[in-house]
Amino acid sequence: MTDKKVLFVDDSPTMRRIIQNSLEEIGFDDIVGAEHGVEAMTKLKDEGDIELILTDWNMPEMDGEEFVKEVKDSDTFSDIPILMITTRGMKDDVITAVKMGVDGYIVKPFDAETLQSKINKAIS
Amino acid sequence: MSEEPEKYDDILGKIEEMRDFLKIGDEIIPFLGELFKFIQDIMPLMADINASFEDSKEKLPDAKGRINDVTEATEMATHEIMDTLNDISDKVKTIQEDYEGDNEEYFDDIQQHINDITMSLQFQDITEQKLSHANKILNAINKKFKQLSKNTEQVTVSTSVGEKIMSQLTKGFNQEKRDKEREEFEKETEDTVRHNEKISQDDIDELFE
Repeated sequence: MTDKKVLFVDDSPTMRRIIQNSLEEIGFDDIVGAEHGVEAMTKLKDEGDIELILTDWNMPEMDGEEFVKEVKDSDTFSDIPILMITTRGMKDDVITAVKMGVDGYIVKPFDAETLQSKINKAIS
Repeated sequence: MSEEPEKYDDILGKIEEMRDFLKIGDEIIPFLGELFKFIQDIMPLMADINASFEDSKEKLPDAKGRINDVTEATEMATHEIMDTLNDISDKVKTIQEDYEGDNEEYFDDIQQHINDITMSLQFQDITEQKLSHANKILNAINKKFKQLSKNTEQVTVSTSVGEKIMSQLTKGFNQEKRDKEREEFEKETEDTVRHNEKISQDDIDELFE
């Protein structure tokens, strides 16, 4: 699992460090970060072999909802599992995310065990 | 001769009309009296509202700036903490490599604590989002106040009574009371963390010499 390349997207520099740190603790070493959906789409196309996406929801330029829609609508990237990691913790938010097509949903603040467990489930 | 009764009818008709008109006047005049009294009673309150609105409008950009300062400061501090945690983690790993005893669990425990502290720093992102929302609300209020202010300036008063009322609303009724209220408002909104005027520690020490 940890040989896969991961893309994580979050506009918060603090969260990007925390997620990078968490992914490294899990054992991932091929990790790509982006600040928002627009940058993430560019990285997806440039890197070419991303196999897992972790994305925030509230972001400038292109938010998580639009980004997930772009990914799911594309022929090339639609099969990549996506985890949403967000402060949005209402039931309606989760339902919206499920309808978007995400493969897992984590509400911040999260712990390392939850992240690992959701990643395992998304990839399997 | 035949025209005379018609003229009398006309006159009587007009007298009836005037009598009806005076009846209406009897009803309207007390109402107008109450209306003017109401305007008189409400004018000090409206002047207060106008003055409070002006005071508050000035403070909004300041409040927004302070919220941005908090976000910046907490983000900087969080990154400093994470840098320090990374250093500690590296040092622990170095010690662990050189350590010959059998305390693997102990070192793993330390690393786990370091990770736990890192994860708890998520508070900074959550706080920043909440503050950003508060800023959005302040922006919206500021926009409304600006529009209200613009609308007030654009009001054209075409009567002398209206001019006098508008003048009283903007100047206020009791200048002394108004000044005191303004002073209290300034005290309540005073910045107690004056980092914009920060003095260096060396300069502080000099003042004690």
